[in-house]
Amino acid sequence: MKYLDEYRDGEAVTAAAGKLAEIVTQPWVLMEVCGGQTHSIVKHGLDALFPEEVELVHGPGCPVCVTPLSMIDRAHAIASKPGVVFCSFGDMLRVPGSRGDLLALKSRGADVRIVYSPLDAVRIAEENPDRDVVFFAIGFETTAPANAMAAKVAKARGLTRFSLLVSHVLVPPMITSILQASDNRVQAFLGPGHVCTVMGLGEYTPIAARYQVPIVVTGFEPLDLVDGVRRAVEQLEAGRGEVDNAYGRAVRRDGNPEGRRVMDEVFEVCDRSWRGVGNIPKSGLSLRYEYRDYDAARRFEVEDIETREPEACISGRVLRGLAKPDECPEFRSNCTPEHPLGATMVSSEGACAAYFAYGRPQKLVPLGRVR
Amino acid sequence: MCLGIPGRIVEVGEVRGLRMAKVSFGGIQKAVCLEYLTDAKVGEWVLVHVGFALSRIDEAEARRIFEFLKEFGEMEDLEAEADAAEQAAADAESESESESESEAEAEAEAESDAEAVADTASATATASASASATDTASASATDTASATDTASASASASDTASASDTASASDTASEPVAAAPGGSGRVSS
Repeated sequence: MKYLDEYRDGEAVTAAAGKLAEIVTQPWVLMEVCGGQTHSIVKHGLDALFPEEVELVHGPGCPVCVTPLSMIDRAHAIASKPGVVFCSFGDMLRVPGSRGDLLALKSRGADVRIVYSPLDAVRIAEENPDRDVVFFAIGFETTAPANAMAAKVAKARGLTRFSLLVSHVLVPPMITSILQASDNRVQAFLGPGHVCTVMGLGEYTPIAARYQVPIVVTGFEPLDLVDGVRRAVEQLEAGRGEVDNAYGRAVRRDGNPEGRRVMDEVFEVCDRSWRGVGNIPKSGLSLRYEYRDYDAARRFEVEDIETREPEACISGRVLRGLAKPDECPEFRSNCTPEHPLGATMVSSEGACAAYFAYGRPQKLVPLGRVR
Repeated sequence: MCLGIPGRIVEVGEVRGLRMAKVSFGGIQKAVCLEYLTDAKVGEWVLVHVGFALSRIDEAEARRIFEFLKEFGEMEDLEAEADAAEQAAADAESESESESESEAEAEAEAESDAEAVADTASATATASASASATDTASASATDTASATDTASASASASDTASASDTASASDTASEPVAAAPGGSGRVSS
């Protein structure tokens, strides 16, 4: 097994979709939480394989999309300061803030660097002891343990000029907020497979029980997604609302306890504003008091910046599963990945960007002919 | 950056007090922190996020969906095909890499397979890094491709490398850049 190609086999995917068609008797609305899942669905045209009763709406699980504009402006302001080395995951660089994106800033001479791992930022700090090195710590629970380790290692190595600009978000408060909205349409979730490699299933059980909603933790390959949908529909048809793990090859019931331990050691839960959605209580992570010296927001004073989103943008509705990207009149005309109007077009993980990139779904290639 | 990529551990060790591993992603190796999976061993498959192994891939669990489909007679010869997948995937990777328009890489790739030895993989990584640096029209595209995970990289890769449309090809295309020694920042500069 290579754990990728097998799950892209057209015949297996079609077979699994056939199982789904056998069990569905009425219309259901499902939300896939992760941007990566959205991409896989749109890219492989999986929604066309599903029976018409099954409608998939796209969730908020794109960390770049939901990072608030004010935070991007703050990153911009810090990266503009003389002597600062600003390190970021690559997909944040093209996200437009009120004053342009980080890439434009880099082209004007700011020292903005792309890192793959947060430990790369720590290494840059060690190599540049006379510079202020700032790491833009964003993401869901998937990147939080890695970012926490960067802070921990920097502290252990006494790197006094290293800091993190933290804008972490958490999945469970977001899906709770979707369920609590009066205009909610979502009846079941394909849960965030990679978030659950860290967090396990525990925090989803009370949500499923309280709202009687199936939450099927699902992977990212075509076969994973079809299987996740089938399991969710099976529960819906039977009137059940439980947590199910359809991504057993990667997700353990208790997740990664050591990852969570270090996360808890470095971060604490805070309220967080989500781009396109607004403030959600207790939906983010920030540095604990013990790590305050590593907080870039404390270290670099940045004046409050007034931010404004284009009124035409419907990304808030897209992120909550209330609208599809192609329902927006600006889609493809005034809003493109080159000139995005809002959250869901800015990141390649965003739903609008996925619709833009894969307007014509790809045909699944049967195994053996996978190139 | 939320996407994890499965890779196989080829070496484990300790670097400045941190448990680290060399992980092979279809022949491309890169350094991965094992602090969150300290008992992971050489030969095991792990899921890697932003340079950290967060989960071990369970082979029995991985096969379950295929067994389910087989049980219902939905698919014939599935198991045989699943076994054949390993070879097919290795071929696919070689093929997709060869599209990266680099002579050095073509040489490296001749010896490269899933079990690639260290020097081969680093040659491939370097070659692909340089290929992507030259292929790409603007620094911006390179930047974006270099540090992002599969989702965004697949978009960038299809734009820049005009690689095949299959997801595995774009995965492979995305990895060498991220795997470039010295970090992606160097590739972009």
